[in-house]
Amino acid sequence: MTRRVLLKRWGPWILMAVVVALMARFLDLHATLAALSEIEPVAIALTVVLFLLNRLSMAHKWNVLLRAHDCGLSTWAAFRIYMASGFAGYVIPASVGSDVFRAARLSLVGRSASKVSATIVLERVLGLLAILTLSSVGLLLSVLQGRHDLVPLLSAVLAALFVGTVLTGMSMSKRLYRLLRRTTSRFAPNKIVQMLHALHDQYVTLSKGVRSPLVFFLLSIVNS
Amino acid sequence: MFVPLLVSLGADIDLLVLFAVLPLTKAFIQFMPVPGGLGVTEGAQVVALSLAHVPPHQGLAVALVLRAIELCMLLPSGIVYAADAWHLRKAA
Repeated sequence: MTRRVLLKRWGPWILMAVVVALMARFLDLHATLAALSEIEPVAIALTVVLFLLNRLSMAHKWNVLLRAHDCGLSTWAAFRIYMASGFAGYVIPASVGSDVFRAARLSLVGRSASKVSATIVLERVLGLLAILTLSSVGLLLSVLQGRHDLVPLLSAVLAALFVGTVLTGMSMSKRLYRLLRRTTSRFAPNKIVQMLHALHDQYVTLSKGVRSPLVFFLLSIVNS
Repeated sequence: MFVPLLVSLGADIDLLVLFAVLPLTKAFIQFMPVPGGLGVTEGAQVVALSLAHVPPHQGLAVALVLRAIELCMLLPSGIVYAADAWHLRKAA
């Protein structure tokens, strides 16, 4: 077995073990247990309701993109798949386990796997941009209110937002996309480059109206 | 989702920082190849909550409760859906 395969197989588990060990080393577990016993059942019940609402809104957002591709589901079906895909994320050992599940599950009922996968790529990218937008605004306000210790984090988030926006913008513009395609031809098998190409195909498909991605982006901000 | 639990613990939180930093943990976890983000999610949430002035032990308690809720909600739906998919594949 090659070193790369070994790292791929055991890397996630090692990472998880390291983080858990660090938490056990540096956090007061007795105080954590005491804090756990202090949490009121009403708060837990409210959190359960909020969790379900959060999943419902995530499923609804995804359905907005699916409908734009004529692959739409009922809200209930989308919610069920979203919940099950969350479970799949625990079983399939990769960060994209739940995404793979959603694409595979819909292909079982005759939906185009490539169309569904494309909506998932778009969902990931727009979701990430929404999170970065929301965080940069929140961090900026916090810094203005005197939290100067957050300046490095704000800088990192703004840099990530800038890079993400530029790359997404390049994949949206036909002219810039052609330039990007020429300059990245050497790195064609790279995952990020492939994702940019898939994104461009998505924008071309959705170019009849910007409503769906815009609705998705706004819902992502609310959802975050 | 964090607010009811934090209020229940009586934590004195900086809400603005909480809303700014917690979504970042979601983004961070997306890049972690750990199944379900186990461990990494809790670690990221403890760090994010500590930026909002939540003591680390309270942050870990909240993260653990959220993990338990997620598992309790997702496990039944996962099992039901796996059975459903198995029937579909069998029928096909």
